[in-house]
Amino acid sequence: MLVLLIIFMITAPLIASGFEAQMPTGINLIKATEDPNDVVLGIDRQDSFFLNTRPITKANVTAGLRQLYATTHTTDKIMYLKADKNLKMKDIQEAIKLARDAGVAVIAAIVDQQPLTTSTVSTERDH
Amino acid sequence: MAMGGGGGGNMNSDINITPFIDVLLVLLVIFMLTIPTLRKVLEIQVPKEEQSQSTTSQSNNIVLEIKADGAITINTQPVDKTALLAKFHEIYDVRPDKLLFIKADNNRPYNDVITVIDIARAGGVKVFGIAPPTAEEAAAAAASHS
Repeated sequence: MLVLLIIFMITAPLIASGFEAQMPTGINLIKATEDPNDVVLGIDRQDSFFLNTRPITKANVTAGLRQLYATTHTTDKIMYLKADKNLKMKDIQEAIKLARDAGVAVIAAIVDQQPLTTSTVSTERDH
Repeated sequence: MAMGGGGGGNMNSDINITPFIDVLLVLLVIFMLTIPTLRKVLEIQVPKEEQSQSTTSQSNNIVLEIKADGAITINTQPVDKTALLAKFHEIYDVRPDKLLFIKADNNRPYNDVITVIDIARAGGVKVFGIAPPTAEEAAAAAASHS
């Protein structure tokens, strides 16, 4: 019973936020450890934006990002982009533009490992 | 007396599986919590606004373009999708700067770009840049949006 409770506690916020997106898959990916200070911009299949799992309007994305980078003490401005694989590049370009306006230096696109594959090159960050 | 002793012996020989299941479920939950703490990403550099003009005008950069019909060209030279990995090796094995610019048509899916970055990483590219749309493309996109 306790186990079920914990499972529901984990899944409930994911379901409640309404974020529905399928990540693209790849083979030669970089491993990035999750950190509570990470800034994650989600774009679901309906092209609605989520900043750290909270829904946000497109117009507020830049301001929201600025605020997050101001409050977290990270020196390298990495933004994790969790976008649906079937989105048009037009929407991604727009998101990149919003991120650039907020001073983001690196966009890390979150990608799922293709099942039964391992990277053929280094999985460490190159810089 | 003898019967009682025999009954006790039977009970001891049974393995009590209930605590095992309990421990296994707790272990399962611990693994479920620890696995998602690792993300798999592909990193893309974002150019500063003022740099974006100068980088596109330099001619010695490698620019990969994904056309509206999905065809791929590297520095305007068409490349077959299946030959992409070999082509990347050919270019980047002898090149000191492992930098690739990607320029994708607005209507191509995001997945295409990720696939290309994935293959390019296998081909030795280390740093990726997204070429921003040119001024006229940006204006056209803005016009279609409003």
